[in-house]
Amino acid sequence: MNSRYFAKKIFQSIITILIVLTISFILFRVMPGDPTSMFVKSGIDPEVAAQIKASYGLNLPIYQQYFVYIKNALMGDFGTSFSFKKPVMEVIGNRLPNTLLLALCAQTLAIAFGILFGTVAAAHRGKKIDVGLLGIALLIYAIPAFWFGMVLLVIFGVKLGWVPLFGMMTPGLRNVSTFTYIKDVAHHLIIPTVTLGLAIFGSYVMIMRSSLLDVFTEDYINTARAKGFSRKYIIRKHALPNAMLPMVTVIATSIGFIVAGAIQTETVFTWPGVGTLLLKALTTRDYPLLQGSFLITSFAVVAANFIADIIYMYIDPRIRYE
Amino acid sequence: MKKIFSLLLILILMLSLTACGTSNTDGGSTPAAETPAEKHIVNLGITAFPTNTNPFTQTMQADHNALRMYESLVQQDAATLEFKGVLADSWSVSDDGLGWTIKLKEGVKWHDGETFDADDVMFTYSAILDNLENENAGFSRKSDVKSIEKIEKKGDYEVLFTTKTPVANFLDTPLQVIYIVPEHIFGKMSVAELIEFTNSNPIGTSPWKLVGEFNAQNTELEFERNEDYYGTKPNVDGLLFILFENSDTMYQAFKAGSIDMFSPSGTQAEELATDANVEVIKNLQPKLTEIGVNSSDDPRSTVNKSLKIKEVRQAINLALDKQKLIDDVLKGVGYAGTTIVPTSAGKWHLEGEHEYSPEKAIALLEKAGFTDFETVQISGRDVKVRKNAAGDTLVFRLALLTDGYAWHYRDSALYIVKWLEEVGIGLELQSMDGSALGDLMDLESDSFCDYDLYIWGWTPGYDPGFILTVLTTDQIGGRQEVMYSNPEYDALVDLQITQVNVDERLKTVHKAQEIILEDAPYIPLYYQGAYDAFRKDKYEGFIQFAGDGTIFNNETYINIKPVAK
Amino acid sequence: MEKLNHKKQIKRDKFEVRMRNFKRFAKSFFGNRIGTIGFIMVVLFFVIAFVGPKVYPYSTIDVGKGPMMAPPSAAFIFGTDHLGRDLFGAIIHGTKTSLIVGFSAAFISISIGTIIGLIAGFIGGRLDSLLMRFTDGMMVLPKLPLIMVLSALLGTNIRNIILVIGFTGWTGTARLVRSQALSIRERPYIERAKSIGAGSFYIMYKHILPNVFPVIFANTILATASAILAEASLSFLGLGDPLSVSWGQVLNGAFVNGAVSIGAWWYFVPAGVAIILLVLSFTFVGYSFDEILNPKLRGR
Repeated sequence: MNSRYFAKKIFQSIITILIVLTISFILFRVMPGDPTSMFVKSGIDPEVAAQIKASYGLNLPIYQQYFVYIKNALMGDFGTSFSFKKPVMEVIGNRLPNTLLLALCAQTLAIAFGILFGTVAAAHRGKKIDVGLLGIALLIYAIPAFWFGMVLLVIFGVKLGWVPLFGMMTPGLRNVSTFTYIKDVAHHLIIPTVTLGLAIFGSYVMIMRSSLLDVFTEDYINTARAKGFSRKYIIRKHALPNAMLPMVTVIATSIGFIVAGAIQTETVFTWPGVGTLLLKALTTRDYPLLQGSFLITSFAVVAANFIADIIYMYIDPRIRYE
Repeated sequence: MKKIFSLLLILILMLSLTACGTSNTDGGSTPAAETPAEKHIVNLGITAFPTNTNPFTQTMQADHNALRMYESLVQQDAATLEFKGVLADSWSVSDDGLGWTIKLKEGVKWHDGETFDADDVMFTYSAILDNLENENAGFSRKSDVKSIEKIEKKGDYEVLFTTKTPVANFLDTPLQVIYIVPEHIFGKMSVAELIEFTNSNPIGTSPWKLVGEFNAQNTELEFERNEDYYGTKPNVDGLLFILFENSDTMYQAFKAGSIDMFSPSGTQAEELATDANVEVIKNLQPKLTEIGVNSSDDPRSTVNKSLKIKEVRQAINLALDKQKLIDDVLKGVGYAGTTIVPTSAGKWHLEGEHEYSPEKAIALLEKAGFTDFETVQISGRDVKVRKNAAGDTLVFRLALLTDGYAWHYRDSALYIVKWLEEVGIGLELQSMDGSALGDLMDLESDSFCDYDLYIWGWTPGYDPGFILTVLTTDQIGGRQEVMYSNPEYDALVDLQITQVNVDERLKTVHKAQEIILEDAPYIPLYYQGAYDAFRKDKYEGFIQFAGDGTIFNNETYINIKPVAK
Repeated sequence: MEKLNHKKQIKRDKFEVRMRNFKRFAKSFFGNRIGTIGFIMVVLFFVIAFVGPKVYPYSTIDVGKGPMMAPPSAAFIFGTDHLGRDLFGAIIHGTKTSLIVGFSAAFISISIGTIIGLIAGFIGGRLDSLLMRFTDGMMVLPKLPLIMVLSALLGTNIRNIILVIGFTGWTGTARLVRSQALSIRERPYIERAKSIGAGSFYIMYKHILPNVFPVIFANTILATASAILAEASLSFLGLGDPLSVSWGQVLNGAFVNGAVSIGAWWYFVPAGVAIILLVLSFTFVGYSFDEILNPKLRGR
């Protein structure tokens, strides 16, 4: 039972990763122009170029190229970045923690408030507060994250001067204590966190609300009601834990959305993360870096979905006995 | 579940606490103020980060900032424009003008303690000279040394350069532009290794030592004072170049006091003028910004062949109201462009006024046979463009750079589109960054010459020797981006470099400019001046190059000191 | 004669049934306040998009028409941008771009999604699981990076942006249509049609497609909203055509030219509000559709 489910999920993830790899292979090799130009910077010494081509199997027939490519990608070898002249993995690795920091803070914020407001809305179903919260959630879906970031910047950065306008820390910060350093980063983190957090917060409210409403119709809630427990007690003790189940999946699948939101948010705040790196790779036609950051973000999403499935397996008894 | 929930709450609480804490205590001041008082590091804002620290392959202007640990033999004084010895102690020219004897300074040490001597000079020049014909050796300074016949070591601290002909600007090119590298580090490498060398721990002789390893992925580049420097030591402890993704964030950082000097845009300069802690100066040693017209006839190139017609190129030039660009885009800091040698070259610049005449442009186009019209869709608009009897339409692609320094290209481009449409020429804008455009100009590239027009610029020095060479035939695949070739022009450029008599050289230089004006492979848009700004509440002693130029120069860096409080 | 009348009668009956259905639908749709508001807003946007440009001329190359970065005034009610262009004109003309990109991209993605979903759901078996695996894979791909990469490789103009958004956004529709097709497949009349020898494509076209159509329609409206957002993001990131008029392009101009740091709110607030309102009106309409057509949601 357990292990079968586990194996099935692993198999699905592998298939998805293969699909991602294949799409990216087609995109970068078969599309326009000479595929080798994507990997070998023009104007390079012909001998060196030949060496690089050989190491990526670019002199082989296309189907063999495919296998070399899969092998390299699975081993984390995405080639050397044109603009940074360093392995793509290393370049991305330098930026990844910054994006993770931002994404984690934003998720935390969004989850906390999503659960809170979703619960409030469900508890007051049909009343003004519920309609209001629903309206806000719909509105948030319609707000582009980058625009919201700009508005926040003008209000809190320019007009009020409470927060810095860009970056992850004050430029030129040297010889300071760790505490000052952390304080500086936290100061820079506030508005980006709110911006990205808000972008995902709306869907959390909706999911939490409808999943709670689902739970309210279950028999055990009625039983509890019949027993005369207070509403608050029922929601906290019985409804909430069960309503959290769908949230887990939504949170995990929202990773993909966070990636998109992060590109916009990082751009607005010049946050030195993977999103701005991807944009830079795009504008500088740094194809190895572009492919690398694209694949790594996709892998992250696949991994998040897999983890969600596994967590789900542990917390949802129905799946276990499937 | 409850546990998770409370954990989340605690996290949020902590986050908001730190947030409130910082916003309350910090306000507008910055942590940079907490730097111990005895260290004075000047923070400079830049919008392009150097790509490498290898002087042999340096190509971009931004790379100069990563090469501050190196020195050349001589250098032009920022105030007097006279050449003075740096690694050279003195120099003398033989009577026939062919032999340059350079006496080197003794007692100069490389940053790693090794002694500097004639071997280092010999190695640096020989590495390039020995590979002039080697196509695989992509030394960026090849054309700067090609006037040299040979170089000989005359002693531990003396070398002799022999040139093929007398060279008018030998002190400028090559002596000022070639950085001397340590033979004990570079000497062991093969040519291919020299080209690929990333040189992340560069060892130089200058008053500045690089702090840490060079990494093109960083956003900060720090130098510290070389305490063992043989010449005048800087007053400040270090220089910190900080990369900004766009000029807007740089402006904010300057206002907040995080950086001490930068070059603001026109609008920003206006805003800063009222700030008492800030000095804004005009840099009137302008750079050349031009429209390059691709006239390649390479079969691989997708260029619109109508650009090969001289009248079409001239018409483009006539259709542009360049003064409007100075007023609107550059906010008055600059001059309308005419010839390839900008006004910063003083007497070398050929005087003349730009003629803005759409009527003449139209007349030229009609003369060239473009009398019919066709309506085409460009970016969702109907544009009436001219075509000739053969059906060739005047629709060109304009490569538009996305880099931070190219903000005025992008603004100017919309004006240019408008003016050219008025005479019946359609433009499509293609956004790309400088390195992508550079790739399109690479002879080996698969997308070689896949562009019609572009806007880019040069920052030539005072001597016209350099800027004139960017259009010679031998620079195709090198510095040339427009595939222009005119033997008469090539001959004039070769001639002027040998004319030691200033008046004779002046005539030749002017004549060469006239040819470019007529052929119009380059359409100079403007000579763009700039604003520089610095915090006068923190530092003093800034020196403008040649009296009215930029403050971003070596003399400034050595001379500035903290304001006495 | 008799036969003909009979046929006519059937036709008339069919028509009446449809009209009655439509009326019932319209009644419940307009009975829904959110749906009505959304519908009115969408109509308004259409008027602005297709009548506006005719009465209010504007072009991206109208540089220097007014003062630079000027706040709203009588002459320029939304102010001007950094090149003195009229921002009100940009909003009016940008509406059309947004609607065209939104609808065209949504049409492409819905078509692809419907075809894949129908085939998977109706034919089933190996083909179904193959198609669904592929859909899952596509679903997981982070959309914006994929769109960015594609548009960079293809080149950025409005046509490519439409194609790229269209070809990446079909996964949700495919899943939805498949599940609908699966449930309809089991209905008795499909069995009957099969037993009298109707071909797969005939059944799909004649019986299944009309039944899944309402779902597709509601989906199209929501897909349009997300395509509009995608275009705005893409243009904002500087991947649009600098000569095209679009709200995202305006926001990009505002961001790149420092409207934020000098507090020039008029440069980006109207464009942002326009995006929000348009997306919101589509979501309102889509939601009410969903509520009517998807009885499960009713009463919530």
